[in-house]
Amino acid sequence: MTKEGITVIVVSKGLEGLLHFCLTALQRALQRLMSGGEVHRVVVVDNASRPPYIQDLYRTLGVKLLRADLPLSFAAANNAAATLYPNDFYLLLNNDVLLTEETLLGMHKLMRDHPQVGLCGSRLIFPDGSIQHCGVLFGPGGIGPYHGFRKKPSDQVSRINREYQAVTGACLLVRRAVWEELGGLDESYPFGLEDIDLCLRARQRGWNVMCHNETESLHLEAMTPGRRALDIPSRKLFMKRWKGHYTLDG
Amino acid sequence: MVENFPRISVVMHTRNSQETLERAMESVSWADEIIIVDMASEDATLEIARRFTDRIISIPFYSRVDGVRNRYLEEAASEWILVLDSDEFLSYDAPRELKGLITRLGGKYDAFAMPRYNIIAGQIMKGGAWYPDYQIRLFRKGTVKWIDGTHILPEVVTGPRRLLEIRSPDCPHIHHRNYPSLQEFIRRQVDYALRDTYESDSRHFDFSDYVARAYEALAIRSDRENDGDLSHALSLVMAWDAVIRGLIQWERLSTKPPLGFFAALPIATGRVPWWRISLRRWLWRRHSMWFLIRRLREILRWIAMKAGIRRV
Amino acid sequence: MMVYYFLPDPGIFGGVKVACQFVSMLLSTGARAVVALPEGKAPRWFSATAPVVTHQMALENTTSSDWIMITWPPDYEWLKRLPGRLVCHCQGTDDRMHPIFADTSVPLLTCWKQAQEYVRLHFDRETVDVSIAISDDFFFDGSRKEDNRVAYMPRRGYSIARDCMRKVGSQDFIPVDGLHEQEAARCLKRSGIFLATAVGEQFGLPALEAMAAGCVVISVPVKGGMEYLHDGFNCFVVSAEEMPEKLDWLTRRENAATRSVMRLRAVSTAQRYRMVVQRRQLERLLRDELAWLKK
Repeated sequence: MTKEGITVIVVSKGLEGLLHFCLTALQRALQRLMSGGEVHRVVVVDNASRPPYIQDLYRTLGVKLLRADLPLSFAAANNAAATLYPNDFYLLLNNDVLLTEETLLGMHKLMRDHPQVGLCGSRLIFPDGSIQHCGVLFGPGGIGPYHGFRKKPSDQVSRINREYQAVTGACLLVRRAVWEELGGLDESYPFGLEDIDLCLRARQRGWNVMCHNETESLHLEAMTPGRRALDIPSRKLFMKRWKGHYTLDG
Repeated sequence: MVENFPRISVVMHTRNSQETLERAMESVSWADEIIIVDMASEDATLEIARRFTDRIISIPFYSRVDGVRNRYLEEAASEWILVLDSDEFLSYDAPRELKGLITRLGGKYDAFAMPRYNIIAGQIMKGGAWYPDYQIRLFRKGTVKWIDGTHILPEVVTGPRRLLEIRSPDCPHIHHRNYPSLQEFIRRQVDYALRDTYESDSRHFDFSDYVARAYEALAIRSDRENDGDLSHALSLVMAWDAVIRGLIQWERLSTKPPLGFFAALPIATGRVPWWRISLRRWLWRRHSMWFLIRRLREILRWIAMKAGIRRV
Repeated sequence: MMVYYFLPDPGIFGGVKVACQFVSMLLSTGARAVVALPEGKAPRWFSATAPVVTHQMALENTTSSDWIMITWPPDYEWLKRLPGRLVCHCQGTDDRMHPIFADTSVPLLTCWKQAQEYVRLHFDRETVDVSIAISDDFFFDGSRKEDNRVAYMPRRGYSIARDCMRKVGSQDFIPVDGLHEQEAARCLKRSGIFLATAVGEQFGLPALEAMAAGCVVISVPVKGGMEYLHDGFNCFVVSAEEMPEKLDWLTRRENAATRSVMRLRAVSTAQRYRMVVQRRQLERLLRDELAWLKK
């Protein structure tokens, strides 16, 4: 569509206060990114919030609001937004991730400098400074995918940008070609692991998956209530499909 | 991907709707047909409308849209009609949900009432008086009829059993941008009140009916817990609106009955000063015997009555 | 055709007022009606526009085409022997009314839902709901209302009021007793709270009058009054023992908003019982179900 523009997709339900801070940080990061001619779009998918987000409020922030009266799955919500607002890159962003300017710059640069990288995740930390995510590892048996170095103090973990089999969708930059090739996220996942699934499918087609580690952003993990219950069927589906097909990282 | 069947025509009335029309029409661009009935708009309404449809019917201005709605429903080519106002819009998943509703329940029902979110002065109203505010808007052509007046629900011709109120909150809603500000709300309420028609028979006029409505507005519509100060502000406006309507009708009567003394005001209170309270208590202690004596007298009278004064 | 409404006494009993008001209503709809009292002395404690005759006069003048209206149970026995049609204006459902309820030749006019349902349930009979109204005098009119003034009626349930007075020292307690209806109304309009302490009341008219006047009512449970007393919404309904505690809670500084909103709701509820509303209902009834009354 345009010169390397990004469509940022934030799927959100309620938590307007948090969303506001998320979007403010995001806008600042996008400002830094604007060097010439790119058209970035920020799309918030109002996932059946009660009461709905107010359109006019978000319009003044330059944000497109996509309202769903009934709750959509994470996959369906992102796919809808991407279909309506196509761009060269898609950044999937959680409403509880406060993105730093350097992170977005770094991720974007990484993707531009390495055309074989199809997806780029980022280092995310907890409020106490420990790692929330810096790449997804795969354990044996029923363990499957898990966040490596979780809870370790961030300073103690290497900041080298590394390749992984998968990264989290809480802050994920995806190349348009990858998105189109794979048909976006798989909507058969009710909630969770559709991001890991995307990464693994991309790798099967020869794309690389990296995690940007040089800088970090804050992740106030899982503030939306009711998450745990929905994870289980997703996990079952994932394991059925992928168990034995990923390399064990230990 | 939205399935093509069943077919739905959207009918929308416009009048100087440039502020909100684009959003409204965008949200129904999936419809098989959009019919715009424009009431002599003088702004960019028609220009915006032409971007989405070529079925535009121009009619003269009417003070109340409900009076003209029925006439133009006939224009729709589809079996199902969705009526949307130019200051309303639907969600992204509405077409899928609404078509699903018709597919599943279109045999049993002719009309569906949808809940509506009202957005006033930038705030979505959650209180009981403003939500769910059911609107009968999706129906089989020919089964719903509007009645002239302001804010009267339309009638389902095939009977109330053929109407389904879809259960909120997990269902498609109408999103309604009522008034951008409180002042706009006030202006429009006064406008409606002045332009409305009133009964001219002074025998049926009773100012206390309007006062009753005013108290009801204050008592029921104010919901500070859910909607904060705005809710109370709106309920005050509506209370006064009831009073104003009473006064307008009163003035227009050929012979004016007395207005009556019911005061349509919120009930303000003062406080009895402490020294008065102390004084009264002191007097009471001294005069409490008084009450007992009078009580005794009452009891004696009652006994006498019970014993019965013998009658013929 | 004339309606003779028999009453035993013009004293301060709720039933007397309701009876006279009903007769006034009938008159205003074009029917001919009078109130028959033992000595023909009109009640002096409210403004009744109903004409009054003595029992003697009524007995002498009744013909078979007239209606004998009763409300006090003992009147049933001696009046049923008279010529004319006996009609009962029910203002209660206690045991003494049962013989009247059982007599299917006596049409029943009930004033509130509880009574109508009671007769339907226990006697398998339908009654005509003629509703009940309170005088316009009681409706709040912008008088200066004192938030910390508590009105009560010492005639019934005085001990409860006394307990409240002892517990809550900050409030100005004012008795409403033996006053003319207009003065009682003025008193209620100036009070912030009303204690309805008459245990065993049928309808609880004073509580409704207090609501119309814009008081927050704390009432003991009543039989028929539950149709307008909605605990926690427009009033409080508590047992006699709990009343002092409730009053104490209600009158705290931090509950000013509660008092304010409940007053509005109380006035709003009372609007249903305006005289004009009852008149309209009666006019409609006289055209339909009670058409035989006008003949």
